[in-house]
Amino acid sequence: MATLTAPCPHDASDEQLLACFAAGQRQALDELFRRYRQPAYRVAYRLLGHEADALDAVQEGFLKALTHLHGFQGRSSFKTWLLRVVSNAALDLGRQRGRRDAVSLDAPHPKDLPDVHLLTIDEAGRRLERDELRQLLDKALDCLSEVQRQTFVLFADGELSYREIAEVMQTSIGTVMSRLFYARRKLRHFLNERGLL
Amino acid sequence: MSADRDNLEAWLREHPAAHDDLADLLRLRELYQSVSPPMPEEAAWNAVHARLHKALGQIPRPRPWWAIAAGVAAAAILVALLIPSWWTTSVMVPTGEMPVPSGLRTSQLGETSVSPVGKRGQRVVEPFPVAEPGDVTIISMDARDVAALVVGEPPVGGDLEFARPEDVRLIRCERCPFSGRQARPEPGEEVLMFVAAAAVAPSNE
Repeated sequence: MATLTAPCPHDASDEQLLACFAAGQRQALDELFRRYRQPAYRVAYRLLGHEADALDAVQEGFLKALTHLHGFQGRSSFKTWLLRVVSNAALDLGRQRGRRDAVSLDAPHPKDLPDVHLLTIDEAGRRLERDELRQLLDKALDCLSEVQRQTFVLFADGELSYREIAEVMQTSIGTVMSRLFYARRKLRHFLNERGLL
Repeated sequence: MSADRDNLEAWLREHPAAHDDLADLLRLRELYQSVSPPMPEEAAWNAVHARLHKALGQIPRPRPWWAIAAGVAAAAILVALLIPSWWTTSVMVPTGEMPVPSGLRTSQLGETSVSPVGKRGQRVVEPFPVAEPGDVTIISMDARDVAALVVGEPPVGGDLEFARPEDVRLIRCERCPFSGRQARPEPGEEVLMFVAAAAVAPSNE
């Protein structure tokens, strides 16, 4: 019963914050929001390509994640649960509004892609300004199918492990590895054609 | 997790090409992480935060256990009070009439409306019409329930009438061997009735 009345400490774990929130302490939301707003936004932005849409997805993701905690059940971390809800919300928004940049319809087949190597970050940075590079990387994501894009974004921007991505997408680790393999080849081919590789 | 890592590292040692693929993938991830999306202004974050608080504030807070227990107790008392009332109105009343669906075309019954009270004064339960027959599409059903499925309209919508009174002709009617009463036809307007005449007193002659 003490957890119902005692204020949640600022250094509380995610589990403690969720317990406080479930007990009616809305202040726990502030700390959860502060901790995870940026990874949630990065994932949503990469999937939507637009700041306002990404913020909408983050808001909807937090709302759904916190109001459907019975579906969370503590089987994974809150971050994994949140990114699952946010990425799904972003994909739903993307289907409703359309990703801001048109998806390429002539993306090459993976078997046609050459085996080339990436440049280092410094080398890439020397060739393109930062903003141009970011736009190019975002554009490259359009070459991917929806599931490949979600998988790669959760891996790169969500910084989730293969196992966590498999939990998020409710699939096997082997499927995650396969999607990342083809996503990598498509991205490398796209960037290579534009002189980044 | 360490077991997973050991297995993965062992597998990568056996598959050098896959090791190169993994290294490429990690470099690609590093490239994407180095160029983060433009972060929103703090005002935009504050707006999202405020909308979240507002939306979550409109969701009812979880009720304490004592409130739930009080609700359950109140519901139990209400059920205990309602059961006797339901028993006397629904179970104790004799039901000699078949329920008449309120949506049935009353012209088929020769009446202009369906009364909630049957011909003998018993209560007629009217089912709540939820759909017209044309509104229902059966997509699938358990094979074990097929025998209970009735499809189509009943062959006779109104009263089942075998013959009119003028269609009936009495050929022979024997006297009752026990009571000695003799039945005779009594034509009515719509229904032919057979009425037993008074018993014939035995003659002393």
